[in-house]
Amino acid sequence: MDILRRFASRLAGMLVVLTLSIATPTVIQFYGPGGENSKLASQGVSAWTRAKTAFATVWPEEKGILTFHLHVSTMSFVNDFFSFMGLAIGSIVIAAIVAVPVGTYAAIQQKSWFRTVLPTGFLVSQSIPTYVIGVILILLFSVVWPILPPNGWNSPLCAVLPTLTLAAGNVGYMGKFVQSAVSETMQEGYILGARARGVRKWNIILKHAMKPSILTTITFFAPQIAILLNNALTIEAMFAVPGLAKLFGETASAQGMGLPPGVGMQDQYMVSVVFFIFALVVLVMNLFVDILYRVLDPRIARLTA
Amino acid sequence: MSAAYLLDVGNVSKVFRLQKRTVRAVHRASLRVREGESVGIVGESGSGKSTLGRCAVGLLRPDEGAVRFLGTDLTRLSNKQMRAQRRHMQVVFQNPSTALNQRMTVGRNILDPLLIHRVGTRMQRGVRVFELMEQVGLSPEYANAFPFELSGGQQQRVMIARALALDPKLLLCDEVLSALDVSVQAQILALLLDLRRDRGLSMLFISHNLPAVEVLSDVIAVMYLGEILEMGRTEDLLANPRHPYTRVLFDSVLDIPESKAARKALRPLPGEMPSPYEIPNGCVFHTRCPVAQDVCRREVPQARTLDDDRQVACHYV
Ligand SMILES: Nc1ncnc2c1ncn2[C@@H]1O[C@H](COP(=O)(O)OP(=O)(O)OP(=O)(O)O)[C@@H](O)[C@H]1O
Ligand SMILES: [Mg+2]
Repeated sequence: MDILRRFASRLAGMLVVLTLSIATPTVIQFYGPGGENSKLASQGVSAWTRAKTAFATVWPEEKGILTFHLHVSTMSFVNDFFSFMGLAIGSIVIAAIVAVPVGTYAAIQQKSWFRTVLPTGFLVSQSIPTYVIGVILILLFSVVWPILPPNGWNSPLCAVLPTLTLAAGNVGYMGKFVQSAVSETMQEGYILGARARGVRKWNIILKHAMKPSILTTITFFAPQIAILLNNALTIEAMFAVPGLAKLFGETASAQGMGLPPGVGMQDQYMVSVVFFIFALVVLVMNLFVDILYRVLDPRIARLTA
Repeated sequence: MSAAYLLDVGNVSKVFRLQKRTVRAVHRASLRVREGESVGIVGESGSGKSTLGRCAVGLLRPDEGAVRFLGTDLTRLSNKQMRAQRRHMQVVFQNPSTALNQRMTVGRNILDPLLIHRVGTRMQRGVRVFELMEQVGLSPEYANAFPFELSGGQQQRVMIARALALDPKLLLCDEVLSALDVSVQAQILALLLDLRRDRGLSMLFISHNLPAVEVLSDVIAVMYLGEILEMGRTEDLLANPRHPYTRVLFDSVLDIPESKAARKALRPLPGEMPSPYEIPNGCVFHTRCPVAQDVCRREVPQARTLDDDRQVACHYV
């Protein structure tokens, strides 16, 4: 019962955040330069009435709060959204597939060059900006050894370079995190205990050390997905992937310019929608992490039950 | 000859190499444990007790020396052979809250060694877990609890049950009392005494707690800077400590000598134990020894066997 109450209060909190995520960009756009506010002000509308109008934009009377009357077609929005999320999620999966084993190996390897070379590799991957990695990959695989298309979105091959670019930047962060998590876990008393009982080395690493380390890694990275989404926006633009960046650029950049239809789709709701989606993804990720923790770590479940 | 002993640790040395420096954790330490006998190891913090204990049960590989367990030299075993030997020597660690896997229930923790070594059928293992819990005085309803839901003393009981699961011949207890409250210490000590009596378990009992060591050990080894300075049967050692360090360790509180000179010799140790990075020349204890002479600064005293089981390393004994 208690868990239901927790869940309900959690959902209520999420609703508040989501509402704010709609209201904030809407209000900013209303008051921003070239926004509705300045137009009404030039017509001599009083500040109080203007504020009431701003409120009405957030809560349009005839439509509910969660209705975004997009000017772009829903279909094209959904398409763009999925290419964007595909890129982001694909890159996380690839980064994890590389970072988890490599980071673990770096943690358990006592001596040998591996221990010095790997952290350097991680550092390099972390410190090179994502777009530089993109350029390098394009040069390597589209120019020097042209096997992959440098941009576009008309075959599955097109997804390879942007996904790898995004993944390459994340391997460093993730690998380093996994490495420190595993080496910390290996110091724990229960690892020595497991050795004393005669658990095999690989079982100790896989079951006793890696499991909790992966859990901490997930809990650390999942809520940070917003950063990754930001990177994905840059990379989309670079590889000409028709995703959210394109849509966002087309619609938001036309704000307040009074461009004729077709040149830019002046869609103020688009900004709110992207804002809303980012907020939603972060919230869902946090919820996911909390649930995962409850499932995998009995301590949390018991202590908060 | 060595077959008479369950465990025969001979001239074991262990050096840890850190980035720049080396730590001489254990130096030429020898001790023997007979079947059913309990050997206590005492000494200040950092004197190498845990390291020696871990070498003795094959958790660390010594740089030098041999560790014979029932005649088999553990230092020469492959990892696989070593794993098979482990069921005969189990360890109870100092801090139960870290040494137990907190993600597993109490029952699962106790079951784990049985699973690892594939003991019995599923049914037999289940029965065994409850047997063990009863033996260490844990009510069976805790089987489904998690360790963090138990008190420190109860967790220590879980760890002892887990260590006993494979019916080991030797139990290494490394500071098993120091994380516990005084009243709980007495309970755990009583449990260990019962286990010794009922099962004829051999023990290596490492502790700061001298009274506990005295109660539980047949033989006591006194360590200082990685060396065993004196070793002897508990009654002998207490009645007649020979090494100046042992004397300070056991005597100072109780018997205050008559003569002023003797009293002076027994005042609490001056200064601290030297750092294990810079081992003194000659006798390791000379920097704090009340009776040290020139020869102590120059020459390392050889451990000498006085009578059976009594061994001292001092120029002046
Ligand atoms: N894994 C290790 N790596 C490096 N140095 C170590 C390691 N283990 C122990 N040492 C060092 O070896 C020396 C002996 O340590 P040990 O843990 O055996 O002492 P101890 O007598 O058990 O002390 P305590 O009573 O504090 O547990 C110490 O100086 C310690 O710093
Ligand atoms: Mg110790």
